[in-house]
Amino acid sequence: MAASTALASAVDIESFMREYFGAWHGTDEDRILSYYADDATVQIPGILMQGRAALRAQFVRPFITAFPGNRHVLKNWIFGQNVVVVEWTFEAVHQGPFEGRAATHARVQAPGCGVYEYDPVKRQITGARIYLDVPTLLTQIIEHGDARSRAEESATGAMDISATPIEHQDLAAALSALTASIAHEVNQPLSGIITNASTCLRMLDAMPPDVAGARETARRTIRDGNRAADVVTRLRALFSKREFTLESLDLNEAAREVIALSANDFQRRCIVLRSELGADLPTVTGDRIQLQQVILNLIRNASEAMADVQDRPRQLLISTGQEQYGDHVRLSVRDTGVGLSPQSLDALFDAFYTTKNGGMGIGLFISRSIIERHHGRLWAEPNEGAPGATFAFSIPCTAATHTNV
Amino acid sequence: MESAALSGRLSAPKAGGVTERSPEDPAMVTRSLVSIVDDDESVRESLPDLLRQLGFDAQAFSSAEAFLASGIVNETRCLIVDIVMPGMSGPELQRELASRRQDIPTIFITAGAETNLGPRLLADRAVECLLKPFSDTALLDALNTAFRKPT
Repeated sequence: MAASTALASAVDIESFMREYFGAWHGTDEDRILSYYADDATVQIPGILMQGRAALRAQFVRPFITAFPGNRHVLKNWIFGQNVVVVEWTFEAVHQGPFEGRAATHARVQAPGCGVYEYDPVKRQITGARIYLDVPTLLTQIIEHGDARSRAEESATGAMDISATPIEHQDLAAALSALTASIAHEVNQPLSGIITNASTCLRMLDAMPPDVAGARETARRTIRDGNRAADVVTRLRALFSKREFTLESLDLNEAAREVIALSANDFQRRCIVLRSELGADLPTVTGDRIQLQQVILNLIRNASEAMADVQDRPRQLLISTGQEQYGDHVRLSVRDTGVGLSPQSLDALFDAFYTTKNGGMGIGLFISRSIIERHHGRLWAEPNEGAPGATFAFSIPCTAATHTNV
Repeated sequence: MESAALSGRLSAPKAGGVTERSPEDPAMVTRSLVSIVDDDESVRESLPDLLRQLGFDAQAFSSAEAFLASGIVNETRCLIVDIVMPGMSGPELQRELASRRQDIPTIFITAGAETNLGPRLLADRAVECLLKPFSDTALLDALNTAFRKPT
């Protein structure tokens, strides 16, 4: 339920935010901050922490000063692909001077953008999701730390140092959580490498040597090595300074590239892929890499949903087309996998919800975030009268984007 | 008690490799079953082979639920289980087995995010808590302990 009301221009929103940062700075911040104190749940893949003073200082403070008078509840803080997603709900909806303007691309102190859940009838905001790019976040954390230490060095007793140790601890905790998450990702393939290599040596040492077995385990060692390298590549991408870059692009072409990348995977998993890419598809305006991440994610989910299917063909259909009512383009991924239960339909797009072995429950959540950032919609439905499920997204085509903005 | 079947083999692990492909070897029929429960596919693929090289029989499962439903719980002499898994976690599986009075010597393995759990698990009857990646000798030491430990 992202805000779909009129989009203000970036300049408009910036001046709006500045106006309200200025207007509300110095309100009863401590009181409002206390709402957050230990409610904040911070989840980074593989780790969970509670109570983040650093986060409050970085994001909550600017946010509550912009939307005063509410009980904001911070739900999640998540490291995703290039972005950190911060989610809020408002326990008491905003009654303040927002005046019906729902920002879908607001700058919130740190460069980032947000999607606000806005009730156009009541003219109230009920929740928000803010996206911040990781390099900026880290820079801010480091600068914040530096500023702190400089302040401490020159402290003459006039400044409030009581909060300092806690915030420092929090910064350290945030970084150590991130490190732990990286270690977890890298340790998995390393474990495979060491186990396979040990097995390989033992097979070669046996009398007679098991050469075929050794060859197979050596092959697995290489594959796990590549997996570890992939983790590093992904991390590099995560921390690379990369803006959300909009370009006019052909969704069919973007999909074709992803399909080509996945071809080996399909073969290995005995999946038959069909694609029905609509002819004369209008272009869309979006971030190619991010949209491809979404497509890749949907394809991976579909093929994993079919991993245990033995009694029917594993078929995957990727189709694109123009929506019936004109200005949107749709891409759908249909599988013949285990399908969706009614309960899972509700939770599917929640962060950390997963039905997969080894899944982190991040993929669909991030995918939906990306699609919402493109002013589109991502949904899932069980296949009618057939096994499996269909995941689809629809985003405005370039012409529609231009008329809206 | 399976100590008779195990003596000799654990102290000379390479003997396991010899028995691997000799059907006439009498040691084959006495191989003890080690079950592995891990949601990571590469562990399920690689660890059974290593265990076979070490002279054990091995079966891998992708979830605690699958293991419980497998019908080989009673034959399992040692359990190697991942701590964090979707569905039932490793420690929950150990508790479930205890409540069924089917205690199996258990070695926990983990990729690291929850290392602080280790001491608690060890205090709670776990044989060992191995951090991924672990060496074959560390695994063998843990298995030796597991098979020495009375259930």
